[in-house]
Amino acid sequence: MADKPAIDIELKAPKGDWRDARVEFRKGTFSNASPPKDLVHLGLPNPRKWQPTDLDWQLPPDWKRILLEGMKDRLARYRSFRLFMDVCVRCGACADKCHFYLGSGDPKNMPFARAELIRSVYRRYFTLSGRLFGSLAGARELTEDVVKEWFYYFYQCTECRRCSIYCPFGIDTAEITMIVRELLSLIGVSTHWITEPAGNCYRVGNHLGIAPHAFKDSLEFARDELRDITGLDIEIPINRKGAEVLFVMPSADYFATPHYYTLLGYMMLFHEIGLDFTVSAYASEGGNFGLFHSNDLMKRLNAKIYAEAKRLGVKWILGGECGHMWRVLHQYMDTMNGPADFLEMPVSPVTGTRFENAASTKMVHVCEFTADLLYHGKIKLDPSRNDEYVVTYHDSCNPARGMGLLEEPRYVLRRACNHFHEMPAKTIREYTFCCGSGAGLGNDENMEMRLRGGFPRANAVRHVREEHGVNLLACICAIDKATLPTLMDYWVPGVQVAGVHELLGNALVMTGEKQRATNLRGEPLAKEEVHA
Amino acid sequence: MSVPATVAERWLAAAAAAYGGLIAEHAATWRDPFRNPIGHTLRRNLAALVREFFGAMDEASIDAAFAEIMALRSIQDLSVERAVGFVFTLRDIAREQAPQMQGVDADGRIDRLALSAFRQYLACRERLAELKLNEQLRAIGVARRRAAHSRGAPA
Ligand code: SF4
Ligand code: SF4
Repeated sequence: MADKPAIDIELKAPKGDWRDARVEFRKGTFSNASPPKDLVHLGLPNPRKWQPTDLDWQLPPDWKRILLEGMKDRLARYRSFRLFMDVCVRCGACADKCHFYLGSGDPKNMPFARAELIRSVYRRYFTLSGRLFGSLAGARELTEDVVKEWFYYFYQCTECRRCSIYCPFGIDTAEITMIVRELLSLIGVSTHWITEPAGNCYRVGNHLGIAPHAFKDSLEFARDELRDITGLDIEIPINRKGAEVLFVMPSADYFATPHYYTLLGYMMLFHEIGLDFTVSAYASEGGNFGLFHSNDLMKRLNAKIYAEAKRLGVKWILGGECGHMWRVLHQYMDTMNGPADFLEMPVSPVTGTRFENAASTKMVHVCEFTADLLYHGKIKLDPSRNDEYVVTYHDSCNPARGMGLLEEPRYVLRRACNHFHEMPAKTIREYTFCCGSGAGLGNDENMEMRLRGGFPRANAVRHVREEHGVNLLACICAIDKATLPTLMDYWVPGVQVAGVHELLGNALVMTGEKQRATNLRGEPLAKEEVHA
Repeated sequence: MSVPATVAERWLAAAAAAYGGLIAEHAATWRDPFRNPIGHTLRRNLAALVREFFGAMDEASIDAAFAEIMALRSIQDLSVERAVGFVFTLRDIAREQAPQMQGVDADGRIDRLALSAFRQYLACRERLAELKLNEQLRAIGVARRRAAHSRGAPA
């Protein structure tokens, strides 16, 4: 795989002084600041008009006190934070594991160096050696330049956790990033692409601020399209009290493409197995941009899921294809807004499988649910309907590293598609490379940084394209579906992106369906259908 | 080591120098394309360009190699001079390593390489606007699909 090296070059240390906090905000490499209205909507401090390129960020007069008190408070509250500040031995095992480092070559994107940006401040203000010996003990003053540097580099971390897999001490730089972002939010430093959807979610229920009637229209349109494709009337119930299951999905599933084809796939599946379910016009967003901002905001946005499950009187919750949505649901929801003792242990009404892994959250991932149906032979697939696709699978960071969902999507894909090839081992599963656009980085203005961060992932896709002719990258994350097509168009043209349940929907043989003429995208099927 | 291999080695060192030594470090320590995709991309494509420089100067092969290199360099923290300028370092390297090239218009060949590098750099920059537009269109993909549907046109 690795070709013969053409050369040997001497090892050199990175130039410059790492303590120099000054950063250049070059167009294309950072996200725009939150405008005042975003912060007002969310009741957050220091609303004002500013941009990272401004010399004066208009921080509150006592910004330093706020940050240091914020640090002190979190050091006391989170043992993990204190440990992560203390235990790094700079062994370097994580150095070449971050996709932003691999795509940019910027040494401050090495995970331990990223963490060092706050660790040095921690030493200065919270350790004796740092207080006494300053820079000799690796300590740094907290200055406005440091605040700017934090903003630059902690919004260049997608909280993907790849580095943590390699750290012998389990230091999770993603959690350090989360804490620094939270600290920055205390002085009104955050990004528009995070706070706007968060505000919409808080007020209306979803990222785009789609009102209930428009939500209903979208789902009605899906019903019309499903009728065209399958000849069946596939109803999508909204706010139906007493349903057995509440289905929660990322809102992109009903407003963006290619996400929408995944929505069609879920609905076909639920119809085929006769699932007694409902969606909610209020919990119309599984995604939670609060995760990228602060613990408090994440908790506030997440609360609606259990609240709706209770109001609608369902027994358990099923969740669609989304990355960070699952990080929140799997790792934080139960602690933040549980216990969900008004719900029951999820049991598949078709196979009788008890999802004991979800005994506490009461929420099952749709890939687990579908894999279980396939395992028990409860649905029939015709994989030849996906024969135009040569498929590989991108493990989205959050489901893969955040919740260990590695086998189920593959189990579905291998049955729904005839042509499936894995990318190289060190680039998938728990070692997966991030899309480079997660954690609120996936905006327009940050495009060049995203392309840097996404390069290692694209490079592995390119490998399977050259080896096997791969033309479709499957994934189970809404941010991936929004941003991987861009990454592919730039680095590996000719590779499309699709959700696992889009491919499942293509292959699903449905009772009473008409002869399929097209796939879920409305494109003619490669071969004539043989059965009705 | 053959002359082209030595030239490729020196040239890679010059290209890597634009990254302030860091990518040079990658190229020296990492052989795996998945551990060091920048180093691997540079190494692979510079070797191909050196082959063309000493060989047929096939335009399609030169463009293809620079397309990959410039896809990277055009979106990294490099000014256009630094992103493209390393091509000219080949002049001194080739003079030193391959004096027998006398008779071949080495300077003319380097100018053709530089022109291709610059074209590919610009092409990459231009693609960024298109990528943003397409991403925005996909973000409202369902509304567009509905509009097309109501017009009776395929989405
Ligand atoms: S969490 Fe991911 S993006 Fe952040 S430093 Fe680690 S590898 Fe890089
Ligand atoms: S692997 Fe862990 S201990 Fe080693 S440098 Fe990275 S964060 Fe520090």
